[in-house]
Amino acid sequence: MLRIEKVCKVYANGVRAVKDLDLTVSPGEVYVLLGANGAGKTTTLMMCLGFLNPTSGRILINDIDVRKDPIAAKLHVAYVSENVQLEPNFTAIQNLEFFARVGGRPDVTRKEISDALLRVGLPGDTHNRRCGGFSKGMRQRLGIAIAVIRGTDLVLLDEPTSGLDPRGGQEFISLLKVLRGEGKAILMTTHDVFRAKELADHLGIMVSGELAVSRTRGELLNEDIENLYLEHVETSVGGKAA
Amino acid sequence: MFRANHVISIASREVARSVRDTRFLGAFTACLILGVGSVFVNAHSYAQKQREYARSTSSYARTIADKARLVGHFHNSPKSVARKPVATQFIALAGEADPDPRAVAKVEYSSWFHGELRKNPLPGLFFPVDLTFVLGLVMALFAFALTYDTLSGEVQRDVLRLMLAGPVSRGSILAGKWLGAVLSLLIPYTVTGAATAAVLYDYAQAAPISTEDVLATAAFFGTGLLYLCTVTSLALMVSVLFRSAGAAMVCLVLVWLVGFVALPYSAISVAHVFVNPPGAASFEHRLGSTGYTSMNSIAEDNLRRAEKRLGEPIPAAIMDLEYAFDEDLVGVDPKLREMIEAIHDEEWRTATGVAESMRAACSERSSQESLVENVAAWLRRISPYGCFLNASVTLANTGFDRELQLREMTQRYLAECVALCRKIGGMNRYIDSKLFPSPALFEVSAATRLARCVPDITGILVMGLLAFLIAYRTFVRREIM
Repeated sequence: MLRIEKVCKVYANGVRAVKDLDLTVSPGEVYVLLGANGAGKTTTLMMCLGFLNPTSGRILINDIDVRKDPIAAKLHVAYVSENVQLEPNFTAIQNLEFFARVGGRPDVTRKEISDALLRVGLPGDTHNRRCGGFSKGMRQRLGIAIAVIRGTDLVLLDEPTSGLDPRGGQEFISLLKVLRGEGKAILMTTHDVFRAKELADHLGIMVSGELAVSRTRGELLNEDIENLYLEHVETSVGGKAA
Repeated sequence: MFRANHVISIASREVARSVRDTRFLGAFTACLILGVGSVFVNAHSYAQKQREYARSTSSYARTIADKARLVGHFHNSPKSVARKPVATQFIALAGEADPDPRAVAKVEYSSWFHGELRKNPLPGLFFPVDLTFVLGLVMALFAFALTYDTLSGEVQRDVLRLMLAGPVSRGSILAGKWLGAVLSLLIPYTVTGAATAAVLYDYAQAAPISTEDVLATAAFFGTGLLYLCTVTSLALMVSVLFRSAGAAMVCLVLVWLVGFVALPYSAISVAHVFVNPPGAASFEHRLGSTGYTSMNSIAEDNLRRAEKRLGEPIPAAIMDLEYAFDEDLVGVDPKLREMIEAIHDEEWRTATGVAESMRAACSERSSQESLVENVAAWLRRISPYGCFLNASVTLANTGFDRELQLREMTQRYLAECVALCRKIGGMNRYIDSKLFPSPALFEVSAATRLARCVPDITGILVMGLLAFLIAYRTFVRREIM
């Protein structure tokens, strides 16, 4: 579903954000990227969405090169940001309807939208409420609802549980599990080691733009991820300090 | 590059977003109040302006005509001697007067209006507020206020990321946002324009409205629409160039203050710096010293020359008889009569030169003022509002029938004046048709007015396309985080 091949990204100011990254996310798999701030996680996601151009290497979504045909590639991708901000003066339904129409579902019906909202745990009385009054948890669910209504095969999430209370975070993870069950490929970045352990089928730790650790779910069972993470993050911070 | 269904979806969303925005409601109300309110407030002074304009224009024309009749009377009277000094005086008057009677009327109107303002300052507050002001200047500010954060700012950037995560091209997003902003502006533009035009029509019922005027007004609104498209492109460009909504807002406020207010309204002053024609006071002084002031010394010189020609001194008492009619000179000594006629001949020759130089001075000043106007018009074309201002003045500001009737009346008086002057032997050489209203002033068909606006309309179009192109190139190439 998603293949990142030897991707490098060097910004205009000379900062090397991502180095020779290789990564594959298959259908029905959750790939979690852990890493400290500035490790290159978000840059990787932005390149997958075509917001940033890789300096070298290529990114394939359903075998479509994102750089060569971004529109065709993005037909298969949905994105949920760290802090989903939708139009505050629109209702949940209006926001969702718009993103469905421009996201390849011009024929979407109100019923489908309501069903999608119910599916992500937003009760009926919130559907016609303006999003300006929504909590962060509700907005993150709306972000997932966009992915659901668009029916994409790949979902990219950038620290989606950051700032959510424990219950909200747990509900969100449950939602992702459901999506995984439906065969969707999920690439998620996070700082949350515990949720990463709970959800990840494949886990990578990025340090200074490189994939320092890559473990499958089977390998994770015998490993203390927290220690592994802290060890690499400290190395990174120590390295930078040096 | 652009997909129609995406552009329409994004545009509809932008319109829906704008009309829910409190900025929209506030600015819409302000436009409506300023547009319709200014017409009501100005209505009284507008009617007075019309009356005063008519009075001052016709009063000026009558003065000229009276002088011409006076000249004609002397010239045609079988009993008169050739009253050449009087003819000279007429030439001086005709030369000294501003070639354009509208300028005279404007000066008279201006002093009257300022007198009125001292009694009631309220119209002065609204005096510059007209349809062009509201649809041009206020709507531009409105457009900037609605569009500055379309692509900059936190919320919009996140919405943009969500949009771009889908299969939508950046071109479609930009075009959709542009179209949405233009459609949003079209709502207050149409409502304010229609309401203001309706109020104006109500006040203008006394004057017939011709098809040409309706067409010119339609062209005015069309130009206004084009102008709004350009203003939106500018705002969009700034919104793309600045990542921070605050910085975009500050930039647009500066653009508005400098490019939309300061530049168009200071164009005349700047043009004066470049062209530097003599001021009105120095011009009048020059004419005065050339004309009336020198006439006294000329009279003295003439007397001396006449004495020289006759070979004997002329008694001072003869000057009292200089302006006498033929009948007054009956029985006067033939020698004395010869002396009077000699003085007249000399005076005529000298005055011819004076009139020539005065006419040259008038022509020079007239052409310099035209140059100032032209330079100012081109300076205004640096700004979209300047172009719109030029176009609106050409298309609709003075084109209505009442104004035309006033001009026709002026022309009638002046034609009469010219006809009378031409009856005077030799004087037709000093009547330059350029000094009188040109027939071109009356060529005010909608097509002519529109043709005169071509540079302005082209300017608006080019600036809009350029701004959109810059916005497009920047947006498409930009990396988004």
